[in-house]
Amino acid sequence: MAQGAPTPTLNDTAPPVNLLGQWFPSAPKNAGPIQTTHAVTAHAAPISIDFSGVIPVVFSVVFLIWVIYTLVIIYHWFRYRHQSLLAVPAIAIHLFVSGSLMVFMISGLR
Amino acid sequence: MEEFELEPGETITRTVHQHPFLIVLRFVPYLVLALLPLLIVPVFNQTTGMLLPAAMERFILGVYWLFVWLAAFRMTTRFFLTLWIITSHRIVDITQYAFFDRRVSSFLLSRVQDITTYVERLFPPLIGYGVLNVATAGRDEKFNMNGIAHPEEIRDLIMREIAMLQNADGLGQRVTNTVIDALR
Repeated sequence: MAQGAPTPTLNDTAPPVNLLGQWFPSAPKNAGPIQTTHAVTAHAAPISIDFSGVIPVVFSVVFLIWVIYTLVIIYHWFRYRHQSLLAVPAIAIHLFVSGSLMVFMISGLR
Repeated sequence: MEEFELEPGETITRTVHQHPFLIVLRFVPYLVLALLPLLIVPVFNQTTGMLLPAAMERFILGVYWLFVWLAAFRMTTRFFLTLWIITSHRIVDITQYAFFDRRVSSFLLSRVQDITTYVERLFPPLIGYGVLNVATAGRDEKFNMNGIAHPEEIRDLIMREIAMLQNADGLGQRVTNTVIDALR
């Protein structure tokens, strides 16, 4: 290196890119370096993920699968075990449990 | 019964299901799967530092548990829709392999050659269930009733039915024919 030459310095003027910001809007825009696990846990701020557009779609798909499944189940029980005392209670249990789970799923959502 | 027609004079002697203990055993993996998130989610939060909102966590857990329940109930449906029917003439094997995959096969008691029961390992002798294996003439594969309650009792029942059938069709009929011939 020549004598008297200026000391090279890193002068990056490009704006910091925060990829996480796309998914975690509450994260600071200029977050700088990615925080380590311990650093993040130390702040313990819950990250709010914006899934508002995804949840209705996911729920609709899940509900559709559940409806088809339930119809198939009811068909099988009534087709092959209609004389059994178990058919109606079994279907009732299925409806109760899966209904409760769906209520649990959406209970916290607005 | 819509799946098979009873012949004239044929009566259903017994309907056999798998032992209820087996369904309890089969629920265990689903129970483990259901409890798994309760262990994984705190560990995931600790290691990644991502704290999902409570509502989102409930939604994801709810979806997961719903699918675990659907799988468990599918197993339950298969369990209850699989059965064996012993009639005075034959044994009917009705197996529900999956949804829309149901097989009904039957064979005459007169073709039964050998009946074997297996009650082995830990739970079957304690709980009282096992395997009943029926070998028939002219059928390559053996016919199995897996996990039925008290297989010895079912074996004796089948043997009784076979004896009655042979008595009715064989000796009894021959005696009747001899008497009729003698009276002529």
